[in-house]
Amino acid sequence: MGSLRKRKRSNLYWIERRRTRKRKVEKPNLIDDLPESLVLHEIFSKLRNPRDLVSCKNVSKRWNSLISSSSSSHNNPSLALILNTQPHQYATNDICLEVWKGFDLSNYVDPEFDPPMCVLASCKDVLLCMKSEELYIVNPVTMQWTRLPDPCGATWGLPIGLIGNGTKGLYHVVMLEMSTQSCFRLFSFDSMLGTWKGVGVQHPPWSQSGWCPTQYQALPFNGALHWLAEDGPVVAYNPNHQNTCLLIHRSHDMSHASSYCADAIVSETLTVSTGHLRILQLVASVDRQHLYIWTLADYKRSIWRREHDEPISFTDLPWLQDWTFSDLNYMFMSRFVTHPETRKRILYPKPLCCHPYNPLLVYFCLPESIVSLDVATRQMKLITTLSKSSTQGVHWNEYDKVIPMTMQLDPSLIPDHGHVLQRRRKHRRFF
Amino acid sequence: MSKKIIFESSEGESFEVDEAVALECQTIKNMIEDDCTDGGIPLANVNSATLTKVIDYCKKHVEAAAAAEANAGDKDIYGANKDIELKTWDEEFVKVDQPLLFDLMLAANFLIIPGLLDLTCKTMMRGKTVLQIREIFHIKKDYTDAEEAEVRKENAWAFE
Repeated sequence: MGSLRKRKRSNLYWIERRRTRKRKVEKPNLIDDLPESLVLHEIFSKLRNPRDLVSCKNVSKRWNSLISSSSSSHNNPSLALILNTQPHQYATNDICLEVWKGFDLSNYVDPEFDPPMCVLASCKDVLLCMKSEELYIVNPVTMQWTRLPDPCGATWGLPIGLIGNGTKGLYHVVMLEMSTQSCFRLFSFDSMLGTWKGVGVQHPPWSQSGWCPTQYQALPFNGALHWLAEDGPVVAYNPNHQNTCLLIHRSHDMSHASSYCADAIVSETLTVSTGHLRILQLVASVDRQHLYIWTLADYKRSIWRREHDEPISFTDLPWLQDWTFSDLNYMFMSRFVTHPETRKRILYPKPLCCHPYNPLLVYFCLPESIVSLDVATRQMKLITTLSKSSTQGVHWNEYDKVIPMTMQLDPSLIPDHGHVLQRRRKHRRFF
Repeated sequence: MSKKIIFESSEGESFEVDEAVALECQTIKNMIEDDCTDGGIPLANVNSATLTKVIDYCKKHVEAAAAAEANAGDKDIYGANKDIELKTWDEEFVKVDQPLLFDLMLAANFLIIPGLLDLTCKTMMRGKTVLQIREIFHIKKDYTDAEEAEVRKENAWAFE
């Protein structure tokens, strides 16, 4: 009861003060009159844009200490999904955010960065972008960016990854050039040296031919870049350990041939959630689709664990009733089509990633939308819709269509960032 | 005929709303449960302009929830577009001047409307510079110039 009385009094006090403001006698301090536990904490805990938080820290000592003391709520980075979808020559960026609305890369873009531009990979809050066949490392939060030198001899459209130390502003960019039975060749860029070089990596063979990664973006985790080979191991490459790689083999029941029927189509994605590598496996057989979430419980000994007891069935989700799963031939086309006989729309969900803090919250790309599925509650949520025309981007097959990125309070630095993006003043708001 | 609840603003103006709308406010919900709403509920610290907006917000969200429930049976992925519509409505709703936004936040806090509190808090500081914040809230800088330079240096990227 005491606190309620205190609250009321402070509100009344504030209203009185505001009346005096109307008479322009003095300019009272609106917000500092509030008991801090009441509203300020509430406001600060809702701020998700690091830029806004830094502004608030600089307002006064009191605010700085309040924010520092309540920073626990900011330790969890937010997840952004960056879409490489536009009907133009290259893809442009649109950011659909879960908790951080109102952030759009195109609002911050330097004239040089005017779309079209394509995001190839991410490492925390730093993006590897390509425009007109040139590579850029961009931090969309701090708006710092740097251009990489031309990788002589490398062609575009190769699987690529970005890894680095954000606090030091050091990065490696690695391109997978080719692979054979027992070795693969990479192009590697070291921001400390500022140069590209070719690297050959030997490894014990696991198949008859070279391997292909399931997604173009290599996943930075544990100091190394990770690609998941199709029906093969996870290949981990640490740019600091030049000519070696680590192979993380699958367990027997994860391999395609042994576990699923012969004509099943398996689409897989490597992702990280709560500090573990995970594989999202979507198995489509004649009339049903199942999702499996595998967790790498022990990195060194390659021990995988299934995250749930039963396979997660897609077929009986209420939202997906008017879609058909039946014709697998159409799924190969991996785009939105209508079945010629039934006229039903054919669904080809592509698993994108797990939420960084909840492995059971999985994001999918559907033909016309991005959705999240909470495996525990079986709830599906629409994140954003994609326009039909956007499914015909040039990078549809060449690069991953959606790049996940995480944003945190302390943004990563960019090496020798000679350049800063200018904020476009589209909608200025005054009070 | 649904039951009506009468609110009274700080200016003494009366507002009649459906019980369902009033139930959006946790504080009022408790009062209704305790059956002490007869003769109107005086809200001494919410003025008429704010109260009108608050009622608008509650009405919209009650309607949206009812519509969502009615469509729950035949929902497909694109049925969720309604969520986006509501979010767009919310965005428009908070495009008001700063004092009213502030009043709304306090009202949401007092009446305990979690959605509105969340919305107003998020909007309060968004996209504002240090100087704008100081000006809007009339906060005096208590940093010395040297201290301020130090804090700025730590986050130099934000001021480039």
